[in-house]
Amino acid sequence: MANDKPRLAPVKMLYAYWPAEDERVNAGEIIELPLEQAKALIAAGKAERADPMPGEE
Amino acid sequence: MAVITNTFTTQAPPKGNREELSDVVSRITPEDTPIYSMISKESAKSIFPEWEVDTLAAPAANAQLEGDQYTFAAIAPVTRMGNYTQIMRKDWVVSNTQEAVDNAGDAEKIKEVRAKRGVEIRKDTELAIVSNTASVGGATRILGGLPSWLTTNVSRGATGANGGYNTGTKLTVAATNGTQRAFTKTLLDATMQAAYTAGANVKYVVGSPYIKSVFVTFMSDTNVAAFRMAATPDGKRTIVATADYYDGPFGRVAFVPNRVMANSAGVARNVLLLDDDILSMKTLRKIQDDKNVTTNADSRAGVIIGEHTLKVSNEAGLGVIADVFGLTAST
Repeated sequence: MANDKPRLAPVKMLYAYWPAEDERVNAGEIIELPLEQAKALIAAGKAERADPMPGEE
Repeated sequence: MAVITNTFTTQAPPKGNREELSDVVSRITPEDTPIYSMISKESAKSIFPEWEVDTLAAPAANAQLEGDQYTFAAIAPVTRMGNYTQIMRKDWVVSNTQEAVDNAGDAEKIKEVRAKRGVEIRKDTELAIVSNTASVGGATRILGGLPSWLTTNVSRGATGANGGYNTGTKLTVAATNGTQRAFTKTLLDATMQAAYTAGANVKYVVGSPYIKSVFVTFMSDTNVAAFRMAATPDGKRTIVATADYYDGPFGRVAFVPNRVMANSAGVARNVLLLDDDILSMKTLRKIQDDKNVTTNADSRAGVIIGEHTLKVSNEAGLGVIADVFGLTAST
């Protein structure tokens, strides 16, 4: 059975971000975003990975 | 109906009929550059003029112990910001024969071409100001456009992200576009409230002509005082469907439609909240003719060139409602 839940990835925002209209996440905050969205923001230099390093979990 | 055989008509064609070409050349291309025209002009002395931005500490409870020994808080340094100058240029070359011939309306004569290029370079400057363009240093420098500066008083659609000035790289970063939505009075009020809270005194709302058409519908909002116009005694009536000012909860602003912002969906998607005291153009080289241009040919050439940048004294005094439909109801 396929898993319909989108995979989420934690990212630290380097610039303020709006996951939804009127929902501002300020720079420095960590949020969980769908994987593709997180990857796009990291590629654009607007966020960085905030997932735990190996051994931190 | 028939034409008698061998009737000599204009379709023959005759050899001696004179052509008629009006000396009046029509050109309705708009020449206005509202932001570039409204902001002050300052001189620059380098390719990277910088300025300082300071802030007050947030209000805090302040009650001290009687007889207390003083302690001294650290002073936060000001933030240095800057924008690279951008070289803008327009040119032309016209053969000496073309310049000598009788040209209807003289639209293709050097004098007229030069005047057109002068207007065009001003419009290019306006486009650079309203574009969400990151600043670039180096040999082909690019000034950071106003939307790339704005981070404080900002409304964005879903998945949009701020750009802003990076004090490490000394460059602005372009904002990331979000999902577009309709421009509404609610968005305007909310962003003006944010700007007011931050200390801004917004005087102008600048948007594309389509945004102006949406702006005038705010008069139909139930929270807006009904707009009435006295009937004139001559019996003539006018349908009034426009407004130039908005007296909102956070001040009175003039709406300035900007035709350059209809240039593309990319610039039309932003509605700018401006205070002309906070913006200026810093000029390193005035936009003017380069007197040293020669062609070494049977022609005359000219170049208008200048170098300048946009100074955003404090972006918190401005605002933007980004990601709105700026050209039509769906684009």
